Amino acid sequence: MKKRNIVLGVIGFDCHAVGNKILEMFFAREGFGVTNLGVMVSQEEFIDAAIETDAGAILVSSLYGHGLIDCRGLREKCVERGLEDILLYVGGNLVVGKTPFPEVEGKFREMGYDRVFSPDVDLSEVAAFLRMDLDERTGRRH
Amino acid sequence: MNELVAVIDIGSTYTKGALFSPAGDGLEVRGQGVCPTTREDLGEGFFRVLGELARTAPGGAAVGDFPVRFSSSAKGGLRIAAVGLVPDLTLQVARLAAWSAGGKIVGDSSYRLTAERMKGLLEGDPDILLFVGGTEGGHEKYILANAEIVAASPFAGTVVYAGNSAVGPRVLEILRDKRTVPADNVMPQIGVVSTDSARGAIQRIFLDTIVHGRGLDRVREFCGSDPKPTPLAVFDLVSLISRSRADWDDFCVVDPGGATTDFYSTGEAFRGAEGVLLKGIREPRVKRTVEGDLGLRVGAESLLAEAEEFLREETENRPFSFEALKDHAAAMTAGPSKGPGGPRELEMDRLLCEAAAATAVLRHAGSLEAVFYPAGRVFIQQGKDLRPCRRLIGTGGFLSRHEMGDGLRRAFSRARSRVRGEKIPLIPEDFRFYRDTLHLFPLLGSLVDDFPREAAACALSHLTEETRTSE
Repeated sequence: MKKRNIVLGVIGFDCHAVGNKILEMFFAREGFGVTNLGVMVSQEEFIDAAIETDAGAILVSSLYGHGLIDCRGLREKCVERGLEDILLYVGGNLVVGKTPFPEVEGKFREMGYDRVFSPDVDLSEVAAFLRMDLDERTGRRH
Repeated sequence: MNELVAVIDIGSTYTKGALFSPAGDGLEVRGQGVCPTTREDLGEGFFRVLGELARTAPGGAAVGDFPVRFSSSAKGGLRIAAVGLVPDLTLQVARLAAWSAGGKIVGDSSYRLTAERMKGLLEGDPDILLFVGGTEGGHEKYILANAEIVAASPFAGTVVYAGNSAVGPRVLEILRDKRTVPADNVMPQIGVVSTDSARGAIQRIFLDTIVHGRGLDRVREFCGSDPKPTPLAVFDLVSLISRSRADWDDFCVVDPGGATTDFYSTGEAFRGAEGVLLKGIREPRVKRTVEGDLGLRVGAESLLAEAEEFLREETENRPFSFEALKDHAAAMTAGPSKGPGGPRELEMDRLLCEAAAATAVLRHAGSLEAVFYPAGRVFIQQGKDLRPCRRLIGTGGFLSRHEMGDGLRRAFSRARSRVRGEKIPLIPEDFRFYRDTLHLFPLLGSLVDDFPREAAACALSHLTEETRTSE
């Protein structure tokens, strides 16, 4: 069976590299085909890599509080570039300040992200969601 | 007389050769010969030069007494059309692969290839279609759709498929009525460049389909060996020198020819430094680019158009006007076999050569952009960093004969300062300039397999370093 490919990276001008490495190791061990773009990744880079690797999901990290600005428009660009079916996950310290998480989640959902995670999420939970969502999309395509 | 070996290069304008004999760790040049290329029967010029070499052999030698290797420019270059997926990823790697195999890109296409676009590619009259896309286990959809378009087109050359191998068999099946050669994926993972297999495939096609006819079969039979495309010979020599000589691990070579300008660089593309990030692909240690619109003869008019701003500024301080240069370029394009006329024409050619080299290095090199963010500043590098290159070698008909070191240094520094915007071009900042005065590079490139150590030593020992007269 074809390996399920995903693209990872830290968006914008964010240089937080440690968590990104952990995500890469974790998802590779979980059996995903991981393309890790590292830190300071632009929306275009995420999309370019997702096209070439035929990724089923883009996992965006943002830890420096500018997530709302950096992540806006990624869904629309994906549609423009022919990735209308791709899953978009986002996680990290997405906004500055003490906004309640459900509010943050609502904002990113509105921007077209399928799942939104807080920084303390259990990664196995994310992997379980990812498998489920990818299965669902594959089913829908056939 | 088995200590002698001859090499002949059948170029588009001249057929030239040299006779070498091993001497110590190097090769000694025992004789040279040249004649205009005989286009109807390439063998005629070849054997004329060979006879000349035999006559100049020490103590006399007969044709047949020594082995002969040869290279051929293949009607001015292997014409390759590149079809890839994302422009900055697989399509760019396809271009790198084509250039490193000695080819010239005559057209390219990204994402979905339409019948209309395919027609456009064929207008470039390609011999080879380099068809890539997708990482290993990656994209499939556009590749299969594009294969259908290629299959339905009247393209009569050879398709090299070097994309996602998961759909390789299906692509070859779709293209069953075309000549196809499969090769390894040029970009197995995002950002990873792997062009050796595609280069090998292109070279085989060159041998199997391109170098037949016009007397070349007779030459092949006589030599008992296959020719290399001339630019590949130079590429192989450049790789050999950087691989085998610790003191020459990073340098550049420029060859401004009549129709095109070739640029080669060696050394790490990205050296990493605090606060510098590489984006996009990591380019190879040895890189070749060829600019089909920058030439000193048939390519002079398009060079003028490409470098107009530079040339307009430069002519303000020269004894001729931009308009006069324009007339000169038009005359060169119309009658490209003419050499330089008087001293005034030579001065114009020198300026054209500076413009060709400076434009070529800007296109070859990457760039660095400063990005400011709340916590400070980082630099984003794209492409290859040539700043650590401290040596530039000039080869080819024009640069082997004319002292151009000061002119090129000045042209490079002007080119750097003329670039506007935030991106700093990563071209060599200061370099010593060496000339391949005997124009041996294309010839020695045919000896890298038989005499690796000697060929590298011979190439370097015949370089003439130009002393600086300015600064």
